[in-house]
Amino acid sequence: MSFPNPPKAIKLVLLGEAAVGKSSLVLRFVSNDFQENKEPTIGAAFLTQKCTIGDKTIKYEIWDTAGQERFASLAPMYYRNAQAALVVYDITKPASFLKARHWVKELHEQASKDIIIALVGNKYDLVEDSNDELRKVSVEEGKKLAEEEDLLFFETSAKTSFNVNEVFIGIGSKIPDNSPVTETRPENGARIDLSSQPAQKSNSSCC
Amino acid sequence: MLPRLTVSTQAVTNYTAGLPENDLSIQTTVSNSDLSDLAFNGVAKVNNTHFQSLDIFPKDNSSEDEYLDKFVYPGKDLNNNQFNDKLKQFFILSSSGKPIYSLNGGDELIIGFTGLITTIISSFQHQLNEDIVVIDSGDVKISVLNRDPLILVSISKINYEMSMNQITNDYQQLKNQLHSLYNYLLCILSRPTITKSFQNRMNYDLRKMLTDVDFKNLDDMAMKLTYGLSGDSDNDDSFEFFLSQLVNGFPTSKISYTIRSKLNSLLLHHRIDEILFGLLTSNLRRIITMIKPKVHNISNSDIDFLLRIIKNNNKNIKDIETEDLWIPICLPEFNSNGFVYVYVKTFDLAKILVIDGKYYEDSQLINIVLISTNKNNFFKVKEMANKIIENIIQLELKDKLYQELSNYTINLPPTINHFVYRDLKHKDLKQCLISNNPKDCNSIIKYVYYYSNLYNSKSSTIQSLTQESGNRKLSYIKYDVITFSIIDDNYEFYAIGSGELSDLISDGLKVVKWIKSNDKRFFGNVVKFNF
Repeated sequence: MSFPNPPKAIKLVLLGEAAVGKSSLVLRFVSNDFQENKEPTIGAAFLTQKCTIGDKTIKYEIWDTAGQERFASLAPMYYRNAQAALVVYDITKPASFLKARHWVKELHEQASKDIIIALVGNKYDLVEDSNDELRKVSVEEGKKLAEEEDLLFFETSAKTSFNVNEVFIGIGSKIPDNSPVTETRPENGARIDLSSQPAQKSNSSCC
Repeated sequence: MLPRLTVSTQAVTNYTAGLPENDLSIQTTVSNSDLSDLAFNGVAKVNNTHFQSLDIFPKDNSSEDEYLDKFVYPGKDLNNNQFNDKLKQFFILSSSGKPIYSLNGGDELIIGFTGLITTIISSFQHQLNEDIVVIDSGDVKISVLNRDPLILVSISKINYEMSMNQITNDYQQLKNQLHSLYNYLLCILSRPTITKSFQNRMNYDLRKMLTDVDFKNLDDMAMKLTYGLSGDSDNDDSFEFFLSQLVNGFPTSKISYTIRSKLNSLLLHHRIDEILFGLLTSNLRRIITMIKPKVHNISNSDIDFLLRIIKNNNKNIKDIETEDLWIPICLPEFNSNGFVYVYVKTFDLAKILVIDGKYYEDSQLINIVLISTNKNNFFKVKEMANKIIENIIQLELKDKLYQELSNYTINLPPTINHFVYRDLKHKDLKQCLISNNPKDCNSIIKYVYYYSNLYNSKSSTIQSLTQESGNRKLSYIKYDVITFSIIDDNYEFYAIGSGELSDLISDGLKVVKWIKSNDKRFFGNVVKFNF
C-alpha cells in the first residue's frame, strides 16, 4: 500500500494592471465563484488551494496583489520567493498587455531564475460570441510574447471559468518534482537582497 | 420576561421645583437578576414631522426623493444651475489650483472655483501671512484647510452647519469634515508620497494615484459627515458614523466582562513583538477588544479609517474567509510619514458553533486586525492569528459571544427616541454607545439637525442640576421634540425625546445609570502592554 505524497507547496504570485481580473481568477480557482464589479484589492491577499495533478498534490500558496500603480513598489516582496507567477492582462485592453510585458521583464530581471511564468489573457467571455471588435490583443500577440520570453500562455475567463483550472494545472505540471520545498518564512530585509543567494553559496562552500 | 422598571418621582419634583436638594440620582428598582438588557416597556413615540417642514434646508415643494436629488445627493454630470442648487460642496485641489476631487460637478464646472479659491488663499498668505479658515457671508460658509501641497475646501448652505460651536468658538463641524477628507488621503498615500509627487512638478495630477474606489469613499464620507446619509442607497451605518464623528467616540459593543477578558488575554498571550496594535472587531464596525502598547496611542479617527478601508476592500462575505489580507496603510494621526502593515483575517462565528447538530443560520463575522511595523513578517502574524482563532474555537463561551454580538439592541424608555452616550472615564479609547439607528432619510436628516444644534450649543442653556456636584450640566432645545444633554466629568449624554422635559431628564438619567452599571460590558476593552 502506498501513501499519497504530502502536498508540495508552490508559492505563486499574480501580477498585472488594475482591473484585469487577478482576484477574479483566484476566486474562481479557490472558491469556484465569480462576482461582478469586485472591489479592487488593496495591498495583497493571501490564499491557499490544493490541486491534484495526476498522482501528485500541489498546495498553491497564492499572493493576489493589487494592480494599482501606488502598490507597485511592494511587488518584489511578493514575487521574491515565488516559484510561479501569473502575469495577467485584459484581452480588451491593449495598455494592460503593455503592462504585462513590463511585469515579465521585471520578473526575469529580479525574481528567482527558475520561476515559472504564465501569461494569462483574461476576459475571454467578452469576445466569445464572435464579438471580435472588443478584442484588442490578438491570440498571436500573446503567443508571440510567450514564445519570446519562455512563458506558458492561456486565454481565460474567470467569469465563465474557461481555461482557469488549466492555468494552475499547467504551472503545476511544469514545476519539477525534485525542486526543494522552500519554507514559507519571512525575510528580514525590507528590500530585495540580491546578494543573499551568492552569500549563502559561499557560506556553504566554506563549511 | 422583561424586567420592569419602577421609578420614583422624587427627581422630577426636585427638578421642577428648581434646584434639586440632593444628587439627582433616581431610585430604580430593577428586577434584573440575569444581567440582561434593562428593558423599558412601551414604544417610543414616533415623531412624524418631516424634515422639509423644519428650518433645516431651503423650502421647496418637491417630494422627498426629488428634494434629496436636487439639493442633497451628489452629482458629477451637472449644469451650472443644478450645481448651484446643491447645499454642500467639497473640493480638494492642489496648491496650484489643479482639481483633485469634487463632490459635485465635473472639472469644467469647478475650474473657475478652484482658480478663485487659490487666488484668495494666496493673497491672504502674501498680505497677511495667514491661512484663511472661514469665509462667512451670512447664509453661506466657505471653509478652507490648507495643507500644502493640498487645499481642501467646503461650501455649506446648511442651517445646522452655520452656527459656531460655543465651547470651542469655532466652526468645529466644518473643520472636522475637511480634516477627515485630508486624513483619508494620508491614509492611503501617506504624507511623503503626496509631498514628493508635487516636489518636481507643481501641476502634478494626484488623481493618477487614486482609484475609483477612493473617489467613491470620499463621496461617501462627505455625505455621511454632512447629512448622515450614505453616498449610495445603503444607510446602514451612515448615521452612526456621523454621530460618532460628532461626539468623537468609537461605537462600542456590549459583551460580558468575562468574555472580553478572555479575548483580551488571548490577544496578549499570542502577541508577537512586531505587533503594535491588535483588535478583534465584529463586522469591522465595533471593537470587541483591543491591545495597545503603554507608550503609544491609536486615535479614533485612525481606527475608523483603518476599518473603513478594510471594509471597502472586503464587501463580499462569501470570499473573505478564504483570504488573509496584508494591507499597507498610513495611520495619519499615529504617524503620517510612513506605513504600517495591517493583517486582517475574518471568520464566521456561526460556522464554529454547533447546537443540536445544526449551525447557526445568521453569520456573525469576527475580524482579527493586527497592525505590524514590519512589512516582511506576514507569515509570523498569520500564525499568531491562527492561534487566536484556534483558541476562540476552543472557547467555552463562544456561544454566549455569538448571542451577545447578534442581539445588539438597546431598549429605550418611552419618552426617549434616541440617545448617544459618550464615555469620558476610560482614556485609552474614546468610545460611545449609540441606541438603535434610524435608517430612513427623513429621520436621519432630522436627527443630524437636532444633534448638531445640541452639540454646538451645549453651553448655552446650562442649568446646574445639583448644588453638590455642580459640574453636571444640562442643556436642552425644544422643537416639536426636545433634545437635551447631560454632561459631567465621566460622560456626555445626548438624547432626543418627546414629552415633559422633567420626564425626559429623569428617563435620561435612568439610561445613564443603566449604562454605568454595565460599564464593564460597554467600555474599558483596551489592554496595554510594554512595547
